[in-house]
Amino acid sequence: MKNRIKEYRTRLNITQEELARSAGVRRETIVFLEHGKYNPSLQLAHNVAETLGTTIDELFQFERKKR
Amino acid sequence: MSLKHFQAVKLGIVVALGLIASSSIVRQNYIWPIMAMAVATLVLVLLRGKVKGVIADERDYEIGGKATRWAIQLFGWFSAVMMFVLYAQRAVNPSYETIASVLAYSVCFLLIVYSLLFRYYEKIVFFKDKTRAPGVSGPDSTM
Repeated sequence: MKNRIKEYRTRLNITQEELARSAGVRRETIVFLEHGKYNPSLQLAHNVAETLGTTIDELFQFERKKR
Repeated sequence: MSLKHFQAVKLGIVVALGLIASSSIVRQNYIWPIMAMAVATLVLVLLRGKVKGVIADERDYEIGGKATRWAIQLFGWFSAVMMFVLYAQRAVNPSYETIASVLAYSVCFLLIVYSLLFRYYEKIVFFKDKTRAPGVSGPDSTM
């Protein structure tokens, strides 16, 4: 799953620490999120999207897995 | 209280607990470590409420869940193997049988507690959360 968290965060000039505090998680979680190494819960995805002033759809690009 | 301060205090408490436990074993006083553990737990719970930062988030809980499952599986396998080895060697030393029994019962106890808690969180807590949600009807109306 790709995401545009870093792009939005740098555009808004928000640090990882500030984003983490606003979303209610630790800074490390934001680091893992930005690198696409952690799939957030719907609640966290919503919190991050809300903090960055966008939507979950805009922020996360889901890739369809082959079944 | 900041997160770093809390972690420093937690480390200090763990060191103090270790000192108390080791000194009480030397003095053969087993009341002190139990009391110290109770006090330490109480202090940590009280301090935890005063920390302003996030101590653990959903990622920590996810990792914790995976680590716990692996730890239980490894402990189960290790104990089962050791139990049979010790039972087989009980002729060498009769106390091996007691150790094997303790291992067997501790694995059983751990698995029972895990199963009960799993069932509790899966069925009861999940169901309560579902019924609390607005617009979701209770158990009687769905059946």
